Amino acid sequence: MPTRFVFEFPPEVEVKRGPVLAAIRQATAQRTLAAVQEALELSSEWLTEHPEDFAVLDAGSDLTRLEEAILRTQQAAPVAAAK
Amino acid sequence: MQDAQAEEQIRDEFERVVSVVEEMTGLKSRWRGEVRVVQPQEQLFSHRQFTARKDWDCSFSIVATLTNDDARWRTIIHEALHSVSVGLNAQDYETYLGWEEATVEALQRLIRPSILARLGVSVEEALFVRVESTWRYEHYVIALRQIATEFPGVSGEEFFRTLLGVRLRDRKAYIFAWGRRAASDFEKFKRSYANASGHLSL
Repeated sequence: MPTRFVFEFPPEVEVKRGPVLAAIRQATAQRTLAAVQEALELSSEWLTEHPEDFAVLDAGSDLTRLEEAILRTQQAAPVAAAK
Repeated sequence: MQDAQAEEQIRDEFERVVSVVEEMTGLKSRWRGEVRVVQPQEQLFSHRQFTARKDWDCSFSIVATLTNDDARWRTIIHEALHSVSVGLNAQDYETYLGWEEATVEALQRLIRPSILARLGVSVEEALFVRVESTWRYEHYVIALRQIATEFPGVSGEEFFRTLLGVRLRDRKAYIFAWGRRAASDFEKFKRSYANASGHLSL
């Protein structure tokens, strides 16, 4: 059965969704590995219950890209420092 | 839809979008022709769920549940624009995330109708408006659009297309120098620039 994506939620769902969106905003503002991974964990838990939530699923595109960017930068840093 | 069939469809769509994007921007895509369709269960297992993304190795990944949804078109165009964005690398993305996402997303919205028309794809614009009304980087787009209004005679498309062709780490300085040369009111431009720079760093 294909997922029907949803873009708006009733107020009682929005209340529960709020902390997930806040974690995503915080992660993209702080850009630390810990904040990004926490946001991904929270998003994943949320999407288990609400796989139809397009905005949270779409945020994962940038969070996973940002997580990999931070990891790559961290891996490259010792090499650059050694040069 | 089977994975192989879905991958073939998405590869074809991504290829066609990249081709038009290259033509419209005059920039060369780094995409190497690879497409991965990822199952939601696979994403759930790794706690890494997403709609679609251009990976750092320049392949393109998309979740299976989006491959038949019309909303995919905005995502495909957005990721195709990342693939031509000049100077996009992991370190600079981390530092200048706002400048990259705002440039790509603003341009995606401006050129999407032309791209879809050229591909013969018809999707109700209201669908995209619904998706974009809750877009997480809306504050970045608003901030950069505000700067764009300070340049008389420069269309939004021209402004964002120019930025996409400037190395990501240089975009901030480039806009300031551009404003010094071409803004209608440099003092007003400086205020917009300072305000937008603050937003784009958050």
